[in-house]
Amino acid sequence: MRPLRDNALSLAFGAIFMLALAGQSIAGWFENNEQLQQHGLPAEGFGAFLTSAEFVVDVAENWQSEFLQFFLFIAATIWLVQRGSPESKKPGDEGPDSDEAQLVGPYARPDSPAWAKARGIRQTVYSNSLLIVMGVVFVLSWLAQSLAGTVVMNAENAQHGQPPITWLQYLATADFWNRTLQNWQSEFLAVGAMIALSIFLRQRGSSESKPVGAPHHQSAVSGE
Amino acid sequence: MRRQRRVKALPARRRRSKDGGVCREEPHMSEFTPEEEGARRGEAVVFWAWITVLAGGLAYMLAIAASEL
Repeated sequence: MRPLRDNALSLAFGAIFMLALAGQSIAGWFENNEQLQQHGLPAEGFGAFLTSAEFVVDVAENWQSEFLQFFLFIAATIWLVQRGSPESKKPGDEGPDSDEAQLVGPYARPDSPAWAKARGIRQTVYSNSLLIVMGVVFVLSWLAQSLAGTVVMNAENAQHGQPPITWLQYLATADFWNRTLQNWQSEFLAVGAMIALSIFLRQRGSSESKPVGAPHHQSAVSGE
Repeated sequence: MRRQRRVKALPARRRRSKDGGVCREEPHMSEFTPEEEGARRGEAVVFWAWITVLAGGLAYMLAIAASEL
């Protein structure tokens, strides 16, 4: 039971992700079939929908915005601060921090990760590994959104007797940027709200909150 | 079997920060003795499971989108 308890946070979010994705696939299947029938076309099987561009574009457009959110938030918190927010470093601590504080190179502990003890490119890559992975997932999911969106738009164009467009042409369409920006605005709103609201609001017991009795002006302190 | 030595971490010192608040200060590196060494298997499984989900999902979406293009 100890492994389950020690990893409960990620396991719980993994489970609700799977449930939400399953729910989205079912709801999306019904919606897609309604649209097909409105155009006098036969309904699609569930398996066919799961392997369709319509399903992929809906999933990918959400993935890309989530990982862009984390990419920007992680990067921004290196250099920008918000006094009073537990999401921020303390004012004056801006920047990548010292090797001693980051426990890298000669300052690494015996139980530090191997690449933290290494020098050169390995240490650099590992020191930025979180940003790198978030950025890669964002770029690839945005690519998937753009490719699938091209397919979906061309299918709609065919139904309306319009010619197909290329992937590059799709990148300049209102549909692509509407899908992209509608997701970006909500992600940035949520992050900004979390940063600001956590200055004055508290949630006892959460690592995302300052201790209930911590003063409002205190930054970079989280609940235990 | 080698008996694993369990050593408690020293309690974090509390200091008054420049802005007047009280915050926890991490022990100096030379004082720190971790309770258990090395990553437990559970964390590694969780990490690689999520990497698999992300990589698999991206590959799935890109393959479908590219195949229909």
